[in-house]
Amino acid sequence: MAALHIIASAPDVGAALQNCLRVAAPDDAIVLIGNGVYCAASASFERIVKRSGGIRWYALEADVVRRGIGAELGPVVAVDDAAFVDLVTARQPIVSWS
Amino acid sequence: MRRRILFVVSHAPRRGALAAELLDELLIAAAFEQKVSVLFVGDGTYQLVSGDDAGTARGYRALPTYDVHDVFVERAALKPRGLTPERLVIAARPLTRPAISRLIAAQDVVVPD
Repeated sequence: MAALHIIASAPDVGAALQNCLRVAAPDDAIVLIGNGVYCAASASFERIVKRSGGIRWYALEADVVRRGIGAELGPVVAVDDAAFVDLVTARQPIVSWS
Repeated sequence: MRRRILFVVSHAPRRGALAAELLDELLIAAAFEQKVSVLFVGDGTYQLVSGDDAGTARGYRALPTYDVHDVFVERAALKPRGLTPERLVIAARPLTRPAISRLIAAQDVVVPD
């Protein structure tokens, strides 16, 4: 089954997103939660998404709104809590990067 | 239930207790007879290089004792870091990116550091 990768820390903390992208498969999905949503605000994000091939990108809406970065989401699909749970149940394994 | 658990080491050593904690988790899982494997990617490959004092490399050397034989390393991570499989403290099988993706897809649980 295709994996769901959860990114919960900002770009400069521990390189969670970079490390995730080293191993993610093209049919995996990545969801940004907590301070992980700041990844979508970084200048290099558009390039990162473009190079990630078929990977699907999501961000937890409440965390995006709370941090005021909604305008930067671009190709990232905002999901509410229920849709986040759907993602978790539909995919295996779940990999939480920090 | 015997589950397939993959530990992913992606950070360089000497981050305080964090590196040692992942090794502890891994050895506990192995002691409870789970199907444990470990993958070193990016700067995590440096954790398999032995320095002049007791780093995590020494701990990882004990993996075969705990019956952990599935040790993998990201092939593309070695050369840019001046490493070869021979310089690592234990035998680690180099994997390409697609092989890494297949390894992850086959797991019940994946634990990054």
